Amino acid sequence: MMRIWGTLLLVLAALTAAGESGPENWLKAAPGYRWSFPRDLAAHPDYKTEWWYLTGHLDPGDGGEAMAFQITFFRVGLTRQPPAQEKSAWATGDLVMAHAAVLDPATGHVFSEVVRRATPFLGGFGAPGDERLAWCRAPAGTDADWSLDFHEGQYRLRARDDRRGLRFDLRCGPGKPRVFHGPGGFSPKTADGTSGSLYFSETRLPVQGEVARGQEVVPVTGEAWLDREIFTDTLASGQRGWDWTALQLVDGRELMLYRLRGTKGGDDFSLGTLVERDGSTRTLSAEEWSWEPGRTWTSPRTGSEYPVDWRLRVPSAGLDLELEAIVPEQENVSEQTGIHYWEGAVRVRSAGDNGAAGRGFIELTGYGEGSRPPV
Amino acid sequence: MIRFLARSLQRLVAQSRTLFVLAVIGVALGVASVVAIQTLNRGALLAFDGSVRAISGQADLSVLGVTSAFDEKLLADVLADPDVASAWPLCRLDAAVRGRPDLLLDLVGVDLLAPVPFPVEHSDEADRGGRNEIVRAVLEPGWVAITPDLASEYGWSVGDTLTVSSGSHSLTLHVGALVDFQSLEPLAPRTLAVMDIAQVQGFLGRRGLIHQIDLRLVEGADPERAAARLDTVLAPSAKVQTPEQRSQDAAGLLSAFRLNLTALSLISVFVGLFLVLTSVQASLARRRREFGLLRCLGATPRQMITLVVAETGVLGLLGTAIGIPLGYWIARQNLDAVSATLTSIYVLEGIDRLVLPPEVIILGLGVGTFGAMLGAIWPAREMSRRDTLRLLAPLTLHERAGRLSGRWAWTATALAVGSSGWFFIFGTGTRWGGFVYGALMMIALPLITPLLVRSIGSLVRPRSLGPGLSARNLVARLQTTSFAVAALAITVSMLVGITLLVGSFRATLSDWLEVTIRADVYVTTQSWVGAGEDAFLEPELLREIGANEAVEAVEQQRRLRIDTTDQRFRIWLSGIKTAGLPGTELSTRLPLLYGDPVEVARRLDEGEVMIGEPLARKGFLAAGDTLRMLGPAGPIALRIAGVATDYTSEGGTAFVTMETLHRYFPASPPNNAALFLRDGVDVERTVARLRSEYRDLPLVFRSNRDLRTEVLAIFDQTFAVTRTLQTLALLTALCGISLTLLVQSRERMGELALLRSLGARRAQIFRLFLGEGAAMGVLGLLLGLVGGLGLAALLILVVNRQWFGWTIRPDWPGADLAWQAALVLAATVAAAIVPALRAGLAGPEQLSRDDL
Repeated sequence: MMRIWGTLLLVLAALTAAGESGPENWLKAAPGYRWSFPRDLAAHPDYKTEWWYLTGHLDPGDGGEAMAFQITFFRVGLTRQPPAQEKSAWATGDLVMAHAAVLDPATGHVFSEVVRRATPFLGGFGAPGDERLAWCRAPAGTDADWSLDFHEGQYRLRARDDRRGLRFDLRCGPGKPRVFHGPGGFSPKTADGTSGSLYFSETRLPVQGEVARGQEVVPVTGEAWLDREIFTDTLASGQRGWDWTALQLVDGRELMLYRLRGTKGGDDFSLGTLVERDGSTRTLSAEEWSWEPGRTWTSPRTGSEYPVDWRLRVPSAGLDLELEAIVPEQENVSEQTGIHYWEGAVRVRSAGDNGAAGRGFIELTGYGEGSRPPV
Repeated sequence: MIRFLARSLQRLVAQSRTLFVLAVIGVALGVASVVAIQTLNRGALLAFDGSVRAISGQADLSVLGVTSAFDEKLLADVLADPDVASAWPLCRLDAAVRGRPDLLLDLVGVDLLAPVPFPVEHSDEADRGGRNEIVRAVLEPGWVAITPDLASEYGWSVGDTLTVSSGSHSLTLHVGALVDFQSLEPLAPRTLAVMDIAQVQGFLGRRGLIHQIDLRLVEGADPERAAARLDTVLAPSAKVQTPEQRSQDAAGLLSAFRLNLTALSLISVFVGLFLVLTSVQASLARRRREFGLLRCLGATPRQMITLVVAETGVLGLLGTAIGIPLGYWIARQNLDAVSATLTSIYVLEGIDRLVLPPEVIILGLGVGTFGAMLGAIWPAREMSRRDTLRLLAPLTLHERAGRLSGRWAWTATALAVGSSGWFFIFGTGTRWGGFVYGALMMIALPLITPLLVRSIGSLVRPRSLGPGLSARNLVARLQTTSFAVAALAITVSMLVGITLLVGSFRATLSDWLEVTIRADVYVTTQSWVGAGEDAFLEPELLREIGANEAVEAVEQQRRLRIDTTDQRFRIWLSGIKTAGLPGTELSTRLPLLYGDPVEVARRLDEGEVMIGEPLARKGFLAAGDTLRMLGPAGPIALRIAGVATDYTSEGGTAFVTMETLHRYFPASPPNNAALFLRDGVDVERTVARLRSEYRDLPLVFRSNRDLRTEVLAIFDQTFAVTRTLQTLALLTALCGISLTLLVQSRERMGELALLRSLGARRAQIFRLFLGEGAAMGVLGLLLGLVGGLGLAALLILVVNRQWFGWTIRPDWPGADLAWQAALVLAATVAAAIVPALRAGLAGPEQLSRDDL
């Protein structure tokens, strides 16, 4: 049947080329959104796509080398008017896609993924007020669920893939107050503001929990970063992908920067947010910062060449930083969807004295053939 | 040698074209019958296989319910298994298509979103459309992908709509895409139609239930261990099978059907081999002088055997070259009948397309060529052993046959007595016993033929050029005539045996229908034939029909396909809710094999089960035993209240009350209903009114009379192939008679010339030969009648009971038999016409000194 599926999907692709189209009636992310919590922690079925993106650095209790993790739940909307489920639980408006990764410098980077139709027994998203924000059954071969819960100001993240040796159970928060990117939490992705996302972060969430390290499960502590983005259109037709970074600096500040790259090279649109020690924020326009690629790494799996080290300057904030991938091999390759991107933990050093200035994550999308994100 | 063989063949064809052609036709007919049956047999298996491969070809294991459907939540359990690499659910149903009564769509619901290959390389516009097309396939009600073959057959294209039904539900489908599934899996049914799982499940109206989970294992995993582990986890509601096991199950279901057809086709081959034997003997007899001369010139017996066998090999090859395409053509002509049998009796996939598999071609080649060569070895050896003088003398072959007839008859008697002894002591205990015994008796029959021909022919004292001389001539040419008579006798045995079987079976079925079909009107749905237990009659609809003023009471039936706990039998379990009317109680219409119907009905009410005869025979079960079945909540053990005759399925049936059924299986609407009408109501008019009233719904109303007629029509359809085989065997035997007489007309040229010179007229010679044809026909008929009676007894009393489990009351379809006898006789006389005309051409001038 998989071959039949394949054929069917090829035919669908052919029909696609013939220009068939469906209804486009999603809400678009726009300025003036009225945020409300905990409602906005839950899913937004009126928008086509959203994600709960948690990344963080972990210090094992056994004194081993620092580790890093990522877990992301994506809601991929199929229709704004989901079909009635009284006849079939498979009648759904959403796909649930989850990516999880653990970086242990000693053993390397492990990535795992799940793509499922949102059904009561395979995965889905909580309604406003539910403790469970998103969940899905673990990949085939593992008897577990992946989940993201929110209870009394604390997130709990669980992921497990026995076949790949990935497993963590972490509690995050509460930490610094939520930060809204862009005006009122609308983060534009083009200069004219016609596309963008509703975007907030929790930039410094204390973490404790446990992570599998080889055959053992070790206790960990650390700091995480939550990104929450809700949108219908992000990439404009002239954009190929984005570079994004989130840094937690030792001076108590945090920095989020992104730039959308044009299909013909160069930056199409950039923006950033500087979070002060007290949680106050300042939007950084493209002119206020610069980002220069350093060392590159070519993926043996996809052939994509990623700039994994960067020199970052934000003169107005007195920052001149060097970002260095902890290991270059931090590419996430999704076998189920064909998507590949680099999502890696980085060390942050001060360019002047080479002293440790913080830790962070970089996300690089749209590098190499067939890598333009479908958003 | 090869050059000599080529010249020899050329001369053979040039000198005896008709004889050669008849022998080739004989081989061709024999090969055709084998090829036709094996092509159909393979087609039946490949249809199921193709369907399994098309749907589950990539799967290492399939999870199937103990009933047709099971809880979809088991998918999560399957995914949790450590050896499972991926798993995907399927929802399947056969849907009837409005306005296309012969078409059932094999609707397969898949999770179209499971392996979502995001079209990331496309342009923006394409991206948007691509997603939307998938979304459309998932969300647009009725979106379906069908095969281009089906679309072109029914004139459908993308965007067209068609109304389909499952049970009393209807749904409008929109052809969303044409997908050539057959390019991936050549045997994928053209009726395969793929939809999103949500749509199929919604259409079925069975929320939470799926029919199958296919799964792939991680590399290196042991499928058997994984299956055993999953079996434990998924029990009791589901079980795990490999695709091969599923195909084997289908092969097992069809084994009796296939074996019977194969046995019948082998009779045609047997008859065909006789024909070859006759033709070779005839050829040798005619060429004895040539061989005598060759021997004089120093040819060794080995060279002579090689020459004859090689010549026959070429003849066989030619026959095969005709027989294989002819067999394929015959298979195609019978495709619909066999396909309908598979669907209606075995509830398997109908044969969508026929292919001529290489193994069947090889089989045809082997049967035709090597069979012919095998048939030539014995006469060639006989000839090669003769001294040159005898070869050069006429009629020696026949003298020898006459001498040997006694010995052959003793061999036949020893074979018959020995095989009977073996069969009655040991053979009845084995399933193959009946076939082996039948085959041995079919070998004994020709062995005894020469003596019988000689004895009967010798009784005649010819006084003139009349029928007496015709009969005596059979004795004079014993070797060739007895082979022709034997071939005809075997064919007539088959004809009579099958006619008696089919006639008896039909009469038994008719009586059975009389007892069991008692309601006035039967209600079912268009998709019932294929969808079976998934085709429901909605309760509201039934209530509405029951409220009709003509209807006094409604009886309901629900059928489930389940396994016995040892998984040896996949049986139909029927739950019946009786109408509750006086005179319609179960006790009045239980076709019990033994026991008291009132007592059995009472026990059924108490929760026991009644089983059908096939299950009782194959499972060695009887009243008082326990029937153990797999149920969705665990094993079910029911005491057997009685055993009833049942001809609906050879796979096994069991009956309980609806109350008992719902105790072990989740309640669901019935599949069929039977209406008892009020006294004085006209049944046919009521049926017509109901049909008109519910014409927009996929319901089928049949009167009691219609249903019986249809059941008997299905029965007749099942035996359509058998009739083709009978015809083929008869044609082959007639070729044999014609060939024998033709040989004689040539061989006896001297004798005929003498008769002519003594004053015999052409018409007298013509009548003499016609008489010989008729005499062979009568002898073949008499012998065949005896053989046929034995064969019928074997088929009715042994083979059917052992292989199908059916008790058949012997019946004597006198008219059919008389008609067939007349036909055979007329055909043998007709087959003698050409040889008789040839013989009539002999003139006194052809008299030679040798003949005097």
